[in-house]
Amino acid sequence: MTQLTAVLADIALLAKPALFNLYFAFASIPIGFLFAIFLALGKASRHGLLRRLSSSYIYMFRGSPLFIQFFMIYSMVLALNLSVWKPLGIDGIVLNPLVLGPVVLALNTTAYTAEILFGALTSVPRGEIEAARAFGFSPGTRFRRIVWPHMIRLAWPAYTNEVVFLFHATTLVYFTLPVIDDQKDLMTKAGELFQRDFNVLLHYSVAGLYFLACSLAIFVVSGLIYRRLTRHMPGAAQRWRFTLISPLR
Amino acid sequence: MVIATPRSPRHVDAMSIPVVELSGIHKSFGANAVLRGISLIANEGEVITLIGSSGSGKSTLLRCINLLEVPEQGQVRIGGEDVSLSLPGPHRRPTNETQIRRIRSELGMVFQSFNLWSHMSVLDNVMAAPLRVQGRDAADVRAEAMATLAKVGLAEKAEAWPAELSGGQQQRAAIARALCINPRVMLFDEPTSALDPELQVEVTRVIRLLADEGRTMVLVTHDMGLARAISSRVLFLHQGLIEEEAPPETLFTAPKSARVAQFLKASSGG
Repeated sequence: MTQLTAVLADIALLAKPALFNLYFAFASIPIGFLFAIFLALGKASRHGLLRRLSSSYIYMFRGSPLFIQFFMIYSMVLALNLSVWKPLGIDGIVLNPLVLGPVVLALNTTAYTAEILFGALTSVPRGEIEAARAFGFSPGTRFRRIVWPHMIRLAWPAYTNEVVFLFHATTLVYFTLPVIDDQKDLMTKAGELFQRDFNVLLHYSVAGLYFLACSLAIFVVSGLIYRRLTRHMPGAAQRWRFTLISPLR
Repeated sequence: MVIATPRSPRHVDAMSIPVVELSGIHKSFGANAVLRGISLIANEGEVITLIGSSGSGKSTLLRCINLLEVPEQGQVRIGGEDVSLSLPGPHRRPTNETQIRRIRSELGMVFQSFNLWSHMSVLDNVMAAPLRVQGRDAADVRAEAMATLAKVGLAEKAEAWPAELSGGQQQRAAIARALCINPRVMLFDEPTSALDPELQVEVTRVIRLLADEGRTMVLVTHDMGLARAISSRVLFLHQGLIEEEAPPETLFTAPKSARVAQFLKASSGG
């Protein structure tokens, strides 16, 4: 029974830290998604410079570890502190992990999401785009009504992966950035508890449970959205449901 | 005296108002010259059929009419209006995108592979261009779309997804989609080539119905029976040029060109 109370105690202790991981994910994912749409279109653009800039950005952030990106960006931001942030009076904002953390995560997920969306964009049925051209759709209407619905459907399973990976990557924020007051995330809090009694199994398992629970929620919501996105394709949603449920059996 | 065909009265009635005029059209893809100087006129109410072997340039010519392909040389006139294009050459582009979109919104295109928008219901497919391109009133468009679907025999499939339809039904839905923009001209790019013979019949029946209504149409097809039945004039394309142009009763019975005779013999399985 003492084990159960220990687990319950850990669940209570780690509830607030879990909110920090959720905050980092929710603050960065929508921004990254929005920028990624433009970056994907940039990579698919006919304009050479735009295409090269977009491809370079994607390569930089996909080609290096997120851990190193945190260090690089943090050190660059720190280096500009005395010359830029302090005189502007915004050093408290820029250097705050609750701001800088989501910024770095957003920069990173933008690149991965852009690559996913770019791949989806190239797989949109050509014939349907051509039909839209033949009927005189403007480029904007064509994108909104024809290209985008296909693109998001094609990208969705891979994008769900990216969302879950990014959520797990929120654990890297406090490996680089300083913890202010009691703003600890799951990993730093679990580490702190571990320092007290060296019970690695208990604390990190409960932290892991939080990640499992949140990931499950993401999978369920994403599956419902995917079912909606594929409602015009008989059978597609059922296949997705099967892949969601089977690992839990 | 010409042998009477169902189409004969049309030759007499056809007022010679050109709706589609292509002149001196050249188009190549890389080193491959697909069209090498073709002119074509479709008058109000005429059905012009393009036939010829695969790779003869029929589809490319059809796609030049609504500028899905931009001819490197030559002029395109729709309803007497010149389509403005940049200087002739391999990188020739339309210079007025608004004009292109307006002209396209008056040309109803039917594709070999249907190309219905698969994420929209059949009804939404038919309503999309009238709503989003022509900006017409939603209630009017809905009523007209339903009437058009009824005409092609798909009224009860209005709410179905394209994936739930047979090939023949999909192609009839695509014809309804093209009809609902009230086009000046219907363009058909091998509308029955992707269908098995049984399904071809239901699509062919609709195309014949439209021809009988006196619609202006340009049709690319391998269906010689259809070409013979509905055409005002038939153009035989060979290696990017018009080998022979004649009314169907002449071209199919007494072709002047040996190449045409050979093609017709092969198509009839003889």
